Amino acid sequence: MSDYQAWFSKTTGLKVVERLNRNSFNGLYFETAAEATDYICGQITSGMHVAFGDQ
Amino acid sequence: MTVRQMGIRERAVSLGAILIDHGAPGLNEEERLEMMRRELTSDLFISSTNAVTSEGTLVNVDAYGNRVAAMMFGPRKVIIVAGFNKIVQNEKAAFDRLEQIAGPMNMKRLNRETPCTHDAVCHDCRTVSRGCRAYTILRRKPSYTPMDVLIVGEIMGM
Ligand code: SF4
Repeated sequence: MSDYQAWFSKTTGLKVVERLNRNSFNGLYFETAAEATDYICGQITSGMHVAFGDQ
Repeated sequence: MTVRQMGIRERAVSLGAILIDHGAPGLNEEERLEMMRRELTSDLFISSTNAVTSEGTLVNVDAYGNRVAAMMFGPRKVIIVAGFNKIVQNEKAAFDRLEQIAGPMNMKRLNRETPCTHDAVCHDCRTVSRGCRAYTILRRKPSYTPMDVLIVGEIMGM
């Protein structure tokens, strides 16, 4: 992704996050799917029942 | 990249989590439905969304309703993942996205016999295979469901 694409994604994404937070969601922005994966896995503990909506 | 391809399942198992996965290979229809029921009371439910609006709302369409139901109530925590491509201006644009992109592409992915899998156009069909059945809008976080919405600066899913 080029610098200007990353800038556009982040600027737009952060605006959406701000609106999500205003609607009581916990909105978060991640530049990459790998960073989002790390965040999600940080919520997982041993013995937890983890489910997925997508097939 | 899709939620399934993020590698969360594998890492969750290595962290000692118990997976409830109706998409696991080898399940028969009854086992798959039972998994869907169990997903409704999971500790953590992870899903994509079909659209997220610039107004901060989530818009989805579902065939069985299991995914949208679990987003609203049941799991102790919900994490929604949305690639940059899922952002649309408003709820009207979200429904356009569901009809023009998410519906036909998902039907093709699932190999359904619907008109959209032939011409990539939604016909608001009446087929038994129709996947577009339960439509939801989350305008605010549901009261009793802690919900993270992760916006990712990459193209993800359909
Ligand atoms: S309503 Fe029918 S034709 Fe339209 S996208 Fe859904 S399955 Fe395809």
